[in-house]
Amino acid sequence: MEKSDDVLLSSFVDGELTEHELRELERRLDRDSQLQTRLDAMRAADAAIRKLYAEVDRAPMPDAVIQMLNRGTPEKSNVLAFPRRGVGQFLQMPVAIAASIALVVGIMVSELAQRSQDSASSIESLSARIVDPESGLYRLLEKSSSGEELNLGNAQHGRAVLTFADKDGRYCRQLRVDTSASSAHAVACRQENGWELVALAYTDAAPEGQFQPAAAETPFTITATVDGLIGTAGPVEEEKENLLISNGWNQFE
Amino acid sequence: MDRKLNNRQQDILEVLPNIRRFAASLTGNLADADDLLQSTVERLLAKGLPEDADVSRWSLRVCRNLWIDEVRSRKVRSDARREPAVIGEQVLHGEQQVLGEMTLAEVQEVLMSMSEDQRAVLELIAVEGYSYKEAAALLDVPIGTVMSRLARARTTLIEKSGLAATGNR
Repeated sequence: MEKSDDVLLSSFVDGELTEHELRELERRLDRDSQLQTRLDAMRAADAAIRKLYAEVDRAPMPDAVIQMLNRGTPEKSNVLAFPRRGVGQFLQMPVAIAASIALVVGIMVSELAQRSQDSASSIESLSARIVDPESGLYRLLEKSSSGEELNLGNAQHGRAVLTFADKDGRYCRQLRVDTSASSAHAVACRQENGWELVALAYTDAAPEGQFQPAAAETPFTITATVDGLIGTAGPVEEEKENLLISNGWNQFE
Repeated sequence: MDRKLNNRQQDILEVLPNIRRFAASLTGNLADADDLLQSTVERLLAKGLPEDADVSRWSLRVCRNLWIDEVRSRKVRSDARREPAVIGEQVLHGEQQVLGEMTLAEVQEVLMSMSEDQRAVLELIAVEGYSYKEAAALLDVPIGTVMSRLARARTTLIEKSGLAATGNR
């Protein structure tokens, strides 16, 4: 099958033409200025792509990856799924912010690994994708209204921050669990049999006496997940939320 | 830990940027790319590499397989291609003009309009410098497919960027 000019030019750029094809194309390039312009455009396109990927290189490598390599042993975590559907592009945000997200995730994973050695805790139970129906966290997701603070034991407090229906009509909740030293932020969605975590991030508490506005301490991972999931109806209002809670999160309409 | 393992760790460390760029071409965003990178390194450390394997190529294959097996099968893949272009120059680090009329943001927008397969082949060849044969082996497709996908990707880029205005055919 005869190759199109674009395939020939593309292969020429990569040095992948046969001797015969190369001689023939060079001959045509000499006398066809349009073909030459097309070739120049292809080379310029490649240069642009390389510049774009150079931006990826500018973001610091995730700390967790470097640490894992230095240790020489894999994390036992199976990295949680983070459906960042609201984060469409790899240069959408400033590189520094993107890097900090990766770092948050990395820290979160290693912190959770450390925590698993401690006594059972609500934050620890976040490391499973399916929320244990016996846990305080499940109780929080299933039974508490947004904004209502729940004592989860072990000096931990949790609350649902927001309830919304996603684009597929599932109900999801953003939540946070605080200890004196740290906070876990998560998004969980109601499946047929319970709650599944779809995003998780972790932040350190602000140093004592230092004010930290609430919005500022919600990790971008979480807000991006909510933005990506949330359907057109927006957040569920209080009245409807209460109905959902009393209905075991079944559709009541 | 024996010396061989240390060498392997060093080898992996050296190809991390390559894995990350390739992961970004698959996922379409840096955050997911970094998750995929982490999973790839985990897998490489857990399973090891064959003695005679080229670390870069092997790592990219692992990365691609993980993307296909784990992420796509769980249907949690970022749906980058169908997202509207929300990029703004004020948030793009490298917003400088390139190609006369085209900004880096616009290059990215065109890239995101391509299929994942086209992005991957473009990255492997135009950025990583792999040969068609190597890319074909990596992506498990015939060389002819690599060739045509690549030409289509480049054509899309120059057509959508307005670069083809004078050289169109």
